[in-house]
Amino acid sequence: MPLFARLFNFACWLTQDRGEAEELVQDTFMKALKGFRSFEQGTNFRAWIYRILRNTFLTTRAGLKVYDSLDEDGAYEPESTQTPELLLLARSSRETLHLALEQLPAKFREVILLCDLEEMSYQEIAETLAIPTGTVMSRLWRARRAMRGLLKDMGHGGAA
Amino acid sequence: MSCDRWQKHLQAYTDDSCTPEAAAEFEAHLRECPACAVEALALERLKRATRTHAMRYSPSADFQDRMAEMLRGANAAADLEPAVERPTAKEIIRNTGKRKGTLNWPWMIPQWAPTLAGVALVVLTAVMAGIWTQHEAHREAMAELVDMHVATLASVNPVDVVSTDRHTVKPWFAGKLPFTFNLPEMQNSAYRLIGGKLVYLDGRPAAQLVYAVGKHDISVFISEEHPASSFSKILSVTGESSRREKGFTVERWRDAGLSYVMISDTNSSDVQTLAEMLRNAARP
Repeated sequence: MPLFARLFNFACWLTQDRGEAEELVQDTFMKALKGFRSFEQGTNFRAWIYRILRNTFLTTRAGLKVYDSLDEDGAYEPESTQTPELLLLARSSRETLHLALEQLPAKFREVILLCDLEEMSYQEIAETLAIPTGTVMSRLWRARRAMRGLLKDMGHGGAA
Repeated sequence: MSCDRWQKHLQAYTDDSCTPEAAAEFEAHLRECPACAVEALALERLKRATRTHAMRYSPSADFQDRMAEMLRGANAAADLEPAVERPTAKEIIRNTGKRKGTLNWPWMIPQWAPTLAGVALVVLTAVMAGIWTQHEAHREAMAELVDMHVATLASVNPVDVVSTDRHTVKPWFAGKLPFTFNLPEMQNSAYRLIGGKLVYLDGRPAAQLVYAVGKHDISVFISEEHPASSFSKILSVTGESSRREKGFTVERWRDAGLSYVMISDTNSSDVQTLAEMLRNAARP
C-alpha cells in the first residue's frame, strides 16, 4: 500500500484521533480504488490520494468544524517573531514541535506538513488543497509565522 | 526581521522552489544581509525540525492487517462483480431498436476488465511506492550531507586534523576508518587542502576532507560502499553525475569499493577539476 504510513500520519494530524484517522485512511483507500478510473495517467498520484483523504475529512463533522474556524483573510495572526525561537529549535525536543503543531489551526498545520514533511512542491500542494499556488505560498508564510509565534511563546512560557 | 523585498525569495529559497538564477541572486544577498541570513537559517531549522519530528504516528499492526484484508476483499469483489444478470444481445436490440453495432457500452466491457484494473492498480502502486521510497532516501541523504557541509563551514573548528599536507591528513585517518584512500598532490594547483575530520553517516564512519579554491570551500565525503549507506542511496538514484542541490554543486562517483560525494558553493568546473584529481590519485 503506497504512502499508507504517511497518509496515516497525516490523517492523525488532521483528526487528532487515531480511531478517526484509521477510518479516514480506510475510506480514502476505498475511494481511491473505486475512483481509480478517474485517475489520469500523467497527473500526480500523491497529490491525488492526499486530496481524496483531505476531502473525505472535510465531509466529516470534525473536518467541517476545524476548517471553518479559519478564514483566508486571517483572523488568526499570532505575533510575528524575529528569531528567539531559533535557540529553542536548536535544542528543541520532539514534544515542543508536536505541541506547536497541535495548536496550529488545521489549515496551517496541513500546509506545513505537506510542504516540510511530505516535501511537496507548491504546485503539488495547490493540487492537493485545490487552491492557487499563490495562496499556497501566502498561507505557508502565515503558517510558519504562526508556528514560530507558538514556539516563542513556549520558550517564554515554559511549555516546552 | 528580514528585508521586505526579499521575503518572498526567502521562503521559496528555503523550500527549494527558486529558479537557479533567483537562488544565486538571493545567495548573493544573503552574504551581505545578516538579517536575511538569520531568517533563512531559522526557516531552514523549522523546516528540518518538522521533517525530523512530524512523522509522529504509525499505523498499528492490527490496522495494517485490517487494511490488507479489506483491499484483498475489494479485489475479490471486483473479480466477482459481473454476476449481475445481463440482457442478451437480442433482447437489447428488441428493446432499443438499435443495431448490434450500437449496443449500450456497459455490456461491451469484458468480464476480465475488473481483474485487469485490479492488477494494473497493484502494479501502479508498487511502482509508485518503489520510486517514492528511493526518492525519499535520496533526498534525506542529500540533505544530511549538505547540512554537514554547511555546519563544517560555520564551525569555529571545521576540521579535526588541520594540515595542507596530504601525508599528514591521510595517516590521521589510519585506525579510524575501515578503509584507506589516496589524496592528490595540490602543489601548483589552485586548490588547497585545509584538513579532514571523521564523520558518521548512517552510523558508519566516513572521511570528510575540506579543500579551498579561491574563497570557496569544498567538502569531499569518502565512505565504504554499502547498500544502507547515504552515499549508496544517493548514487543508486541518480548514478554518477554532477548536479545542483539547494544551490550547491554536487559531484559523486564510485571507485574501488569507495563512494565519493563532493559538495561546494563554487562552480561546477572547479568541483569537477578537483574530482578528476581525486580520481587520478585513486588510480594505482
